[in-house]
Amino acid sequence: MKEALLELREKALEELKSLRSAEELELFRVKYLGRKGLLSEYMAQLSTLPPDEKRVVGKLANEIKVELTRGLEEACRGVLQYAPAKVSPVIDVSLPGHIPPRGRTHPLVQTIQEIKEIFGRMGFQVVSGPEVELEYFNFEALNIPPDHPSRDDFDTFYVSDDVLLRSQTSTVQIRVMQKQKPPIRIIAPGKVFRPDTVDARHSFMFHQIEGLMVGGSTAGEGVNFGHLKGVLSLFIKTYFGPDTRMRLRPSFFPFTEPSAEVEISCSLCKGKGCSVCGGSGWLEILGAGMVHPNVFKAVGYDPEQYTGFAFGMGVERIAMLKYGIDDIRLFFENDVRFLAQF
Amino acid sequence: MKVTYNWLKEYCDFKLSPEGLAEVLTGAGFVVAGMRATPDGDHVLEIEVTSNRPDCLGVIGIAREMAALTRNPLKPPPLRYNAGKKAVEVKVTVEEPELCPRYTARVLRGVKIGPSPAWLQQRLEAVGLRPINNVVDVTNYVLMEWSQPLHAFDLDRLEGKEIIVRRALSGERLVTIDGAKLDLNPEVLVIADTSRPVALAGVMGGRDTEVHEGTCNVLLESARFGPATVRRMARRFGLKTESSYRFERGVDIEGVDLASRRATALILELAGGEAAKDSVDVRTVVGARHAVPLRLSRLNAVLGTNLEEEAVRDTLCRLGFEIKGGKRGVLEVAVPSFRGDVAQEIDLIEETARVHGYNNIPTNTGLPIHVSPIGRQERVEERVRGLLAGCGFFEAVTYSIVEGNETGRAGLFPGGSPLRIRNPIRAGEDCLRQTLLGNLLQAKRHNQDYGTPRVRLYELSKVYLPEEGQKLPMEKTCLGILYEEDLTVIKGQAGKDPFYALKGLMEGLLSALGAKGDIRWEGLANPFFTRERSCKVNLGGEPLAILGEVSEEIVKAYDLRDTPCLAEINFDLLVEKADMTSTFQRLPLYPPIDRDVAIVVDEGVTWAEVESCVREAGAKFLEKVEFFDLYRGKQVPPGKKSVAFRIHFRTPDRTLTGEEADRAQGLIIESLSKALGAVLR
Repeated sequence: MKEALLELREKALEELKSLRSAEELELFRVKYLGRKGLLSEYMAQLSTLPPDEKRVVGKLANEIKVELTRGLEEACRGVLQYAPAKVSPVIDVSLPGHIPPRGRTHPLVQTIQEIKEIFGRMGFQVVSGPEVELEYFNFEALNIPPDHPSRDDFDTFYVSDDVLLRSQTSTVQIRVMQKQKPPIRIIAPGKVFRPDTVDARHSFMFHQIEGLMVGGSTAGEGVNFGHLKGVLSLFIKTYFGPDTRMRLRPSFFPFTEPSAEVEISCSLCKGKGCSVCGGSGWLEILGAGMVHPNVFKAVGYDPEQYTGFAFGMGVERIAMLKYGIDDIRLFFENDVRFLAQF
Repeated sequence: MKVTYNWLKEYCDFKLSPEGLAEVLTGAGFVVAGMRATPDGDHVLEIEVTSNRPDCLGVIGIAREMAALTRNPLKPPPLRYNAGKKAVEVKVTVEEPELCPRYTARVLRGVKIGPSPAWLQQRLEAVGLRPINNVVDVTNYVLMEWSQPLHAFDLDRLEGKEIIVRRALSGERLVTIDGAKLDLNPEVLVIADTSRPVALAGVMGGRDTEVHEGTCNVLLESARFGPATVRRMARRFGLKTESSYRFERGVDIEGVDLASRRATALILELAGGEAAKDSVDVRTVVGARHAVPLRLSRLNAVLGTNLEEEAVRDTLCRLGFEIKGGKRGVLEVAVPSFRGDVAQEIDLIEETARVHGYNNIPTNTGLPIHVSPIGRQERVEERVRGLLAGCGFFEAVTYSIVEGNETGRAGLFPGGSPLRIRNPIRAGEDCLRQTLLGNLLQAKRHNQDYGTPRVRLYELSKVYLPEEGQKLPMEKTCLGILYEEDLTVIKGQAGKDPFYALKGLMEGLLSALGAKGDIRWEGLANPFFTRERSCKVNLGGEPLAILGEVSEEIVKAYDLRDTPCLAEINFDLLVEKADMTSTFQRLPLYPPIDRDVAIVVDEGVTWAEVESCVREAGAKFLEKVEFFDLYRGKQVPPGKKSVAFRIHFRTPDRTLTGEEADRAQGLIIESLSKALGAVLR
């Protein structure tokens, strides 16, 4: 019986090679592996054998069954690979698929979102304030008295004698501090307006992000110039890349003191000097400083008790640097060929 | 402001190349924006001086900074001169001491007018001034050196040998040195002799009394005029001069006389003559040096440093401050008259930090942990932006300031007269928008003109609604949407009607935000839209949105080739009503029974009526009713339409039987027939 089984195996394996269609495969399955197939017949006879032989032959029969089943599966795969050609025509997989429509968030908003997210991780909360604002919030409370020459730096659209379109998001600092006691960590993105004639570099409407952090002046919770540098350097390395260097130089803003202009190493030329950075290797990206005691007084904080820093950056400028955009007007034309690039 | 390298080195002998100088100055807050070599081997530096530092609008001021920054002594030029025996014999009256707190006059007799020596001419040219003659050149030279404007009058042309500082009279005129004829009025401060104005105070001298070739006797004016006054005059007459620039920022009350002395010495040297033995000095402001206490502990707390008292003291002294002792850890700092910007402790802290170098202050990243909550508005914005991007919409950002005629059309919010800007940059473009719709149509038009015939745009921005009795307008955040189908889709094609596509988007938005409240869709009359294909949406009784197909008039007005659909949504209301919390509901254990029903009703019957009739029929087990088709055609009589919908019946505790569903369905059909005259199809 053992020999008969081996012969069956030989024959079956030979037959397996010649199978070419689904029908032939099925016939083979029925003939050898079916319920009334040849293997089943041998299995049925096992009971007539002496125990020793029964064990050996039984084992062999099982092995052959497994082998043939596997062989059949393999043959199936082989046969079915050719089969579809007969059933339906092959599709042209190089034809374009149906791309679902995909819009974009405006690049300025994306820039704001990215910046918001970084500061959010440092515990800064997003707040906003009105765009049409009382002169008091845009100037007086920010330590910019009437007739002060620095008002020249913040040329402003007026709606009436004491109502204007805010020329800076620093207004939000005041509104927040009037309502809330320290500790404060906020950033305020938004639109600002200045009567500049529109050209590739200027727009009468643009976006700024203001930041403010205030803490008690006592050890441990005091916020000092070193923290200002710390927060800004973490932001800059996260947003512009870990190799970006930062430097500060003194500047003047009426609402901060000491005030600083913050520059980063030019990412384009790596600090060697190019047309983007005007050959200096450095790019101005934001203004910052310690909140002026007069500003604290204006909101009813005791400057002896609290210290803090504030900073402000131009969103358009940062987006233009990041993406290499050379004309600010593109942001407001809303040409989808432009918008689709971000 | 321009200075030259050699000029600066005369007063502070630092060991730096011109490039090195530029770097040091920039690092201390005086940005060197440009530098060029001159033909005579000097270098001109263009320095940006911040508005708080008028003292640095002269070579001496910058030299003093260099003295502090490089720890070299400051060597100012000599101010002594040999006076003659004759007195000034000039009368000066200041009628407006508030506007002119100090006026000095010196007299030089027998000067010889001629060209200045080459070195002087070269320096003036290097800093952008045209040499005129030796006397005028000296006044300009000293201006650039001391940041103190001076003026030289031809003394013999001053009527009555008298100077009066007064307001101009209405009708008076002045011809300035550059030939401009100015009509004056009492708002203008002038220098006058006994008969007429001879100079615009602090801005420019008059032609009649200027120093010329034949001038023999000179009156040298050095004064301080009020910043606001000079600023107004310079603006009024469009005259921005080196002189007005400095007066606007404020000149040093003590420097008035120092500069006058320096100029007198130089004129004597270069033009000869004899100086009067005395001078006139009319002064109402006493420049007492005020003292500001500086606490070392405060300084280090603000800066996050560990600076020693000695280093702070040294820095401040080099900048011209005087330390008058004080207690341990507290410096009593006397502020020199030229540092009008220093009034409180923080100003001294900044001075110290600036010279110490901001980049030498240690960076501290050890902030305490602080969790910032993400606001509701932010979360809603994020979800809406994601949803719209996924539906193929591009976000637009457009200008809030629009032309007057744009605002004539109201969007979601009633129009009314808009807020206007007094000083627009373009005439006509002076209104704050009250709707986003016009801006979106303009953006659509731009795309149409630049090769993108169909677009989907949205903007999430503010509109500005003036409020009676309020100074500030109401600022409402709106979501404006402009929708168009792909080019391949034809209007009216079943299921692809752009109106319903936009309405569906709106419904999707409401459901994505879990907006709570009763939603009602009603007809709309708004010139932006066609009457037939537009509607307004109320949420919980408040107007939430308007949407529809753009009217023919608007298509023409914006010169569009297609007819887009628009929507404007009150985003603030959406944020208020949004509920994005999720709650779990157990999945049903038993299957529903679905029944499709088609009824024929009059054209006038709306789906909303059908739906509420189905819901209110009192049928048991009703779970959901869904519209799926509207049909007009052969099998439906004219004036009627066929409405098809699917009803789901289900009960949570067992499987329904067909008979139960039949009974419920029967009840519904009966109710439809009674209430709406519906006939089963």
